[in-house]
Amino acid sequence: MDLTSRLLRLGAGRPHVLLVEAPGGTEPRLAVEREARTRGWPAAGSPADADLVVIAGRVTDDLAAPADRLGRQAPRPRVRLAAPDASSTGRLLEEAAARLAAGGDLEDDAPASAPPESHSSHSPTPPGDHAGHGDMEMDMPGGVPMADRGEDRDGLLLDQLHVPLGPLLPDWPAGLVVQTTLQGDVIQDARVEVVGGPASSFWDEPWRRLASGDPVTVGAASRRRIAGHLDSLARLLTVAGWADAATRARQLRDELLAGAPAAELGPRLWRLTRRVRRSRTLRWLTDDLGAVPADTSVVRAWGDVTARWSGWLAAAEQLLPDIDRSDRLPLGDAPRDPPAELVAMLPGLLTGTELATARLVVASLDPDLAELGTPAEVPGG
Amino acid sequence: MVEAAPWLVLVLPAMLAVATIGVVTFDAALAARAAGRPESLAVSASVPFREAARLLVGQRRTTLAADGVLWRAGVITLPVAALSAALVLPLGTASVADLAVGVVWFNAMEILAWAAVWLAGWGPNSAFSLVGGYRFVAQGLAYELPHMFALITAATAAGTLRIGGIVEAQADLWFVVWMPVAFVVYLLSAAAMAFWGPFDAPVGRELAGGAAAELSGVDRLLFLGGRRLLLVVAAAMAVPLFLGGGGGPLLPAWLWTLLKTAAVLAAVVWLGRRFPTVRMERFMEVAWMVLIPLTILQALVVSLVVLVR
Amino acid sequence: MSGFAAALLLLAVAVTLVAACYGVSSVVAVAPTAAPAGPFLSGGEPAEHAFSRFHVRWYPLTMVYLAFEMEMLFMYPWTLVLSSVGPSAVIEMFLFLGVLLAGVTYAWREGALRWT
Repeated sequence: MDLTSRLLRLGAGRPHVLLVEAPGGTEPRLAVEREARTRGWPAAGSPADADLVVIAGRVTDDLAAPADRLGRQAPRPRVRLAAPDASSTGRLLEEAAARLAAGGDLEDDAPASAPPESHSSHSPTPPGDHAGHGDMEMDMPGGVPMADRGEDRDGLLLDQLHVPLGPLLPDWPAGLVVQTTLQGDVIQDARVEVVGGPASSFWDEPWRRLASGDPVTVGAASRRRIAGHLDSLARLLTVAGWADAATRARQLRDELLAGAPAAELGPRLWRLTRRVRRSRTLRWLTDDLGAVPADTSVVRAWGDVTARWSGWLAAAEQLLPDIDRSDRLPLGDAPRDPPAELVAMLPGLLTGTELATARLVVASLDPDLAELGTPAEVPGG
Repeated sequence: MVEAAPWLVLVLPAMLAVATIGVVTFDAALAARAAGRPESLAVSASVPFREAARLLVGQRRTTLAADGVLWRAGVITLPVAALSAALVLPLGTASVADLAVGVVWFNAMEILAWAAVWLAGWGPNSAFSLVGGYRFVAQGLAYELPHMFALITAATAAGTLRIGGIVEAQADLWFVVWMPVAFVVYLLSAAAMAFWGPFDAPVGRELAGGAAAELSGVDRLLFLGGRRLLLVVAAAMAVPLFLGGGGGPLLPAWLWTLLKTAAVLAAVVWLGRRFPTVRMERFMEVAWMVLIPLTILQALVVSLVVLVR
Repeated sequence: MSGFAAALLLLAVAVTLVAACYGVSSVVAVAPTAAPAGPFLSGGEPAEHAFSRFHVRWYPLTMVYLAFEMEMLFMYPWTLVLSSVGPSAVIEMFLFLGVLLAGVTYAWREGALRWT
């Protein structure tokens, strides 16, 4: 199989990386994104497209089964990686590519993956046991039932599909699970859960250190805040389908976190914000989506999706001159809005929206759930 | 003067493959430039081969209770339809067959893509791919009528449905000069029919790859390769329809065809990376209330000119 | 060789190329086709089959589209006889298109072009 190994080596020079984030995994996710971007390795959208499946962050008990399922769904040759922290990510990826060139992971997964996971919740009844039930269950291939029906807003009975968004979805807030009931591609009903964690939030680290008494410079805090906005913007642009602008935002974010001075970053940031702001197509696509009324307490969520991403751009431009300051951050400077209220808003905002719109709304709110972390159902909506 | 040359049947797939490789190379070069990592031509040119190698050695997959027949039929139909649509594509002065109803044949073959993408979305029994497949049908409703009107406009100006006849009618003046609306609409519809660029909602990132979400290995190669092939064929067809085919001073016809096709393809690929993905719920109004009246008006103007001539 | 014979030949070439791709893949692939995996649901398991009656919200539009498609069937031969028949052909065709556009405008005002 010399041809196979030659083709393997050729293909392993550009593996597709499926990167999903567990709560607390922001720093390793940023590192993996940076390393993959500098090597020119594209991001995969689903496990079928993936060669490397990377889970950034600590995989807690409630994330273990989804992580395992995700890894098994990727076809061979594949390499499954865990990146619990951001140390030596480059070397991790290089070694993974080398393993891929040699054929990938070869663990034996036959018994666990066939027939797939559906039997964990329905115990397979032997046909002879219950006479009536036996007939029904034999009709369902794979032990999974056919879609049931439910009412839509006009009272029509339509088929419903239950599609979870998250926890392990690329370009999705870590730890968030939105259990949707879809009719067609419209979300009829959305229940929000938070899984994984709790872990310390990367974006709020300067304020956490400030609260615990460490000296924090204004520059460091501004850098972290702008980088957070750029990260949210990159995710929103990826979900909106504008990959190039998203890549530029990610590049700026990485350079900001690496400590580049304002003189160098300023012109490029202005270019990016000007380009995104001037895009009438993006405005046309995101106007009047996910409108949050101005009477809620979460200030940064006010308005529609356009207002929120415009707010990120404005905040980034406003804070840019501060990133080189070395004076101390005054006590009482507030971090971002608490995520629990953002999450409580979600069911109301997502009901009745189409899938793409829902993802845009979630990306525009971009809740940071690392510190929320108890696996519980969030009331509301 | 376009003549039929059946021996082109073997050369045509090769040339289209080269064009597809060029499209992937250019796309990779644009992506690298956006990532702040401008790479040499050699590195960009290796991308299509790396992707093809990766997908050829990749394991094929199937999903729980997938509809295998329909799924694989959809995957195969896309490249086959794209290649069939190229039957009437003239390379310079020769095409595989210069059918008397060439325009209708081209239209019919690229419509098979509707079936292909929907089947590919239905087959794997997956919610995301199902939504992706239906998105392409909605997209078809938006772009197909402006596309057909653009084709009709070119055919009306030449008074024939034969692609060779349309090229001959542009000997004095290219159609793009006096029917620019039809040309622009045709380019947009070429991107939409290959779900490329701003119209890639059927395989969108927010849908985990949409209709291609569960494809791997050679199936993925055929589906996504077929998509790029369809883009190449549709963009290449703009040359005989609006840009005068192989006509031009100094250089031979086939070279002019190649240059014009490369220019159109470069424009379409660049367009693909320039805009966010357009959702049909916003675009449908624009397509029906702006594009269709505009193309009808364009057709009226052209038919009046034809009458006066 | 007539045009449609060439079409059949091209079809045969296309199918051969596709079959060749599958053949190469079966020889070169690192593993045979995987056992059935669940659909990608962000790590979750499916609660039901995705094969269902998908609620297509834009179905009124398909009716309007069909009307236009039937009209296009007449436009293709119309292009051939336009110059010989003369002004009456133009008037008839564009009056017909105008009537259809009036229908589209009505559908637009009734909200068939917007959904959600």
